Amino acid sequence: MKPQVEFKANSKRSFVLILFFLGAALLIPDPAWNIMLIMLGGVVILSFVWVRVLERSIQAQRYLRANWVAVGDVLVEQFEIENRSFFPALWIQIAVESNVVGYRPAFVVNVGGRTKERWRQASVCTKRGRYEMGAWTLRLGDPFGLFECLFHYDEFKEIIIHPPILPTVPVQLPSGNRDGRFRRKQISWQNRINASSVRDYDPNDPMNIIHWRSSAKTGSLHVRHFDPEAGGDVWLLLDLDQSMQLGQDRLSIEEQAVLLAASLAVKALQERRGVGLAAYGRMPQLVFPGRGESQRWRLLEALAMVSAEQTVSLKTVLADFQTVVQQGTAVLLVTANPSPDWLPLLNQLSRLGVTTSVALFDRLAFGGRENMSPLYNQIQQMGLECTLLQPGDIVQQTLEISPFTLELGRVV
Amino acid sequence: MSLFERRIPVRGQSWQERLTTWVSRNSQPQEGWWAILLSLLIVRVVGVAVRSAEWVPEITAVPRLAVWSLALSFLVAKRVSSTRRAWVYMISFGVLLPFLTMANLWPTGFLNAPPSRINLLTFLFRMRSWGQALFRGEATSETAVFTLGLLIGCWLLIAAFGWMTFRMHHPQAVLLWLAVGMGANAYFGAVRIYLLIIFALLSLALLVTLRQSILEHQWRKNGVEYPRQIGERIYQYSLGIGVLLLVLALFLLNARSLAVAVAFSEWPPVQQAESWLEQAFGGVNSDRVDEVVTVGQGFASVLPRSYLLGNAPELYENVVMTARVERLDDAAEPRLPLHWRSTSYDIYTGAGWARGDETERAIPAGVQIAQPSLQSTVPISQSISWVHDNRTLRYSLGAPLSYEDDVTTYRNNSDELMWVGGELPKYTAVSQVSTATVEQLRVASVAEINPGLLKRYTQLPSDLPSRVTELAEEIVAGYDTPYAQAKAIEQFVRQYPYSLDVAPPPEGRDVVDFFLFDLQSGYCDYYATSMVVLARSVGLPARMGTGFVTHTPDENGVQTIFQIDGHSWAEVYFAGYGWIEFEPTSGFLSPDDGFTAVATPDEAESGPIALPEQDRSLFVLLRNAGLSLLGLFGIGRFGLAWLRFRRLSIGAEYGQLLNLGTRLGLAVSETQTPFEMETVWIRWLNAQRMHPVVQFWIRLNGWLIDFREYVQRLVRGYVAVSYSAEKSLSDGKRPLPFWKLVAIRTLVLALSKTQTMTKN
Repeated sequence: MKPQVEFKANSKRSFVLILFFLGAALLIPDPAWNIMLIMLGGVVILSFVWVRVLERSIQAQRYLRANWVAVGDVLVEQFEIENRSFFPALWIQIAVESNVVGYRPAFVVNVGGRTKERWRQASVCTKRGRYEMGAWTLRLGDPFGLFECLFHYDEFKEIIIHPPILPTVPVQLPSGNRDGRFRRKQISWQNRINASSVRDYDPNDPMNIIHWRSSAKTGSLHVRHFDPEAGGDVWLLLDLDQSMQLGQDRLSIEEQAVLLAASLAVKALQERRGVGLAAYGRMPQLVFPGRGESQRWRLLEALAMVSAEQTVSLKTVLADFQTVVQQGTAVLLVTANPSPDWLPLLNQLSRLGVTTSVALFDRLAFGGRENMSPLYNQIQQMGLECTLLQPGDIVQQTLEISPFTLELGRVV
Repeated sequence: MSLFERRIPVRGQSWQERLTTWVSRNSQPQEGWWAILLSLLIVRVVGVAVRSAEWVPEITAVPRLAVWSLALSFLVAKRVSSTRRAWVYMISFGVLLPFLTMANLWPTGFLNAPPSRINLLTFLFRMRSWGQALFRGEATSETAVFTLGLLIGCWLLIAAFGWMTFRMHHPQAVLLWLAVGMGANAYFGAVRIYLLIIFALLSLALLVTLRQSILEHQWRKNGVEYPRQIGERIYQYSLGIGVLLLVLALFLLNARSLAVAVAFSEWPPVQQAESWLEQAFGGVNSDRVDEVVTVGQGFASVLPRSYLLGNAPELYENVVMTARVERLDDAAEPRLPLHWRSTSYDIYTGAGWARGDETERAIPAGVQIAQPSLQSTVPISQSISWVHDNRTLRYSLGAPLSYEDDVTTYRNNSDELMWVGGELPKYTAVSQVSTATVEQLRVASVAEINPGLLKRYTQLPSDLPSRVTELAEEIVAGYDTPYAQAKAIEQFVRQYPYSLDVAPPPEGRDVVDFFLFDLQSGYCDYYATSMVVLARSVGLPARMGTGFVTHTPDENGVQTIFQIDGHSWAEVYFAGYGWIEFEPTSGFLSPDDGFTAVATPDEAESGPIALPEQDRSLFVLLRNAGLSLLGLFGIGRFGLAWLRFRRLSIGAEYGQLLNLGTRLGLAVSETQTPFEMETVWIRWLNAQRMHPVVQFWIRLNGWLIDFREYVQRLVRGYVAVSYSAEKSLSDGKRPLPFWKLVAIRTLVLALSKTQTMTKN
């Protein structure tokens, strides 16, 4: 990418005085003028030429090692500067406008003449979300501070920092209760993995599941019959009501809910279950159940983006969610809402044939005033599985994730 | 207190230790001590330069005011946040203090009288008289206004310099203004070149130091990571650039284009300006001596009173005059002189030539100019057309007798005609030239010469090295007559090779001694001066003539004389025959050449004596050889060390540290882990004590003494190489650059010596 280059003279009057010395040396010759002209004028001219040459000879590039990383990972960026001129660039200040939390590289390097140097800058990602690695600038100058050159690269890159994945979480995934006889409104290709037998063709069946060999043998169209996973699809329903949040940063309920959801989603996908996500925050995220790697990134991206900045009550969320959820699937509700108002709606979900369980944050332990035990008991009395989460249950394990070390600075 | 424990106060400190600790802690200026020191040095150099120019007697106040100005600007820059208010302070003081100084209004002490009103009134009167004279269009020698302006200008310039420096705000523009001031002082005054070089080098150093401070300040403020080596690299490159430019400047020290300069000086507005300046500031002393004039052939209209030998003349092939010569007496065959004479010099100073007081006398057109009665002379007429500049100097062959226009003669105390001036560029003159033959000159005796003239023209400085006289006596040994002696000296001097590219004589050195024994090559001034001094050394009355060499006339009988024909020669006085020209300059026509009527004296047929050996005394030889060997050894030793250092692995460097520790008696051994050794070293370093002043100085230069950091970096580097996958360190990762390592090790050894001595 071509940068915008700005050449700057810190003292334009220097040139006027150099002209004065030149005039004096010509018109009233004397060794005094010669010394001043050559020693001071020479510095001005040499500095000017130096920076002008560097202006045309410096080429810089910047590479991001990955387009996505997870919280706790190291975000690594490599800078490559080539100096094609004979003059060395004694100092080059590089500054990157980035809104990644904790990563705003600003450093100074030295590039010799006719050399190419590489530097790595890195930072441990501490906060999930979508970020911009914005414009960056190179500033260089002569050793005497007379001239400077500024390279401005209007280069934007987007990076998504996913929530981290915990190997173990203190919450069990609920199991679905559907079998292969149920017809589905949405049939995704992930659900057509385990073909166990064939059945007669139904006009609503898509063409690509016709089993041609059986059809040829029998003379009538047959389609493959798929066995869904025993566990069935699972929905992760996050309550991101702003008024229900407690704690700050990594110890906040919001972050722990996201961390829990991400870890459970990955675990479920590893168990070859379909996973969906419903999170009603600043940007409502609704990801329909699916399987495989791509679903994993969809979910993590959605979780990276969610934010508890809207006041949407859990009752509204559950009511809305009923229109989406399918019979036979499982739902894990993650919430810190201490009010029992939403329990009837949860019960209603169970009656619709949805296996429901709840991960409940203990508000008292998070610094709130409400005691969650009555609610916890109520949920259990409803016959639903419920886990009461304490602050240390998830965060403690998060802190154990150590960033891998990487050699930074100049790359030899 | 330990040398390295910088932040740990210790009870029982001496007041010096407490003071140095306080200063280093609380007065660490943003721009660094180096910048302040450099600023002070620059201001000092400027002050010395202005004072050494000696414009006016009161100029001695400049260095003092300059330092005050810098101090005030420092205080204002640090304490006053508003730029406008700061400048009000600086300008107010800048006007007030020079005014008080000039008006002599400073209280001079308790016992003396307080500053009186008379002083103020006197100063105001001086200013008023200057203004009135200028208003009336009269010339004035009053210097009060000039001095006041100079002091205020110096103050403000230095205040601006200090302000820009201490505010770290691009001081380069002010530095260049100071450079203009330095140049002006050097041009008009007698400021030595080395002061200019020091100023330029200090300015470059200050620029780099400030630049470095500004950058590091910005980087620290903005949280920018930067390697410490960057500063060192910037200094290294700047030093290289400074040396390169210095060499270039010295190489081109005398480079100039005289044609442009001449055209500029003849430009009417410039002459008008000069005239006005002369009128307004006639009392200001300017030591400037135009270099072109100092070699005798200049374009200036005012003759120099002194004639210093130094840089070679710079002469061009510009036509300066045309001349037609006519013999007025056909009966005799005149021995035409080889030179168009303008001026004669009679006083040899050791550094060149000078003339004493002269008597000016107006000679109307056609009136005879008094000349001594001489034998064997003939009158000749010469019509000269001067075309070069507006000089008033008159040129003639031989001694002028009359002019067809009004002229002015200038005679010395002995009534000898030194030179003639006239207004018209075209003139006709009659002069007398000698027709004396060699035989006639041989019989001329010194005893017959007027004692006054003899005394004047055998004058020599009292500090003339005796070896010059000894050489002269050696040259004339065996020659009896004055003419034979003069010819022998001429022949001897002509052996020296001619060169315009010669070094100027060292200050305080006799130029003839320098030419004859050291330089042994030169141009006409050296030859002529040497012959005159040698002749005077053996009692022959001699003088130096300046002017142009003659040319062969063209078919119309016209000689065209060029500027490059400018010349000087020797003249020896012969009783009854007057001043006879000699040509001691090698390669120039001798009066004997081409004049068959004049034979070479028989005595000279044996040839002149050999040139003296160049000054190579045993001591000098030994000294030079010793210095050369020392230099070679130093360079070789340094080069070898540097090469070793380049190849030195981190492990070997670690081993050297181990050996150094063993030499110092530290409890280090190969069985220790590197970190154990590091601890031993750090303990030892922390235990070192030094004189508080040295300690203070070392703290200021933390980069030099930080051996502790070096040990830590070396140990970590060694551990990284030995116990990790990283097998070699690139140059950029060496614990320390070579020069710093050498400095630090030297210091450590010095510390160990001090410790040993203390123990003993």
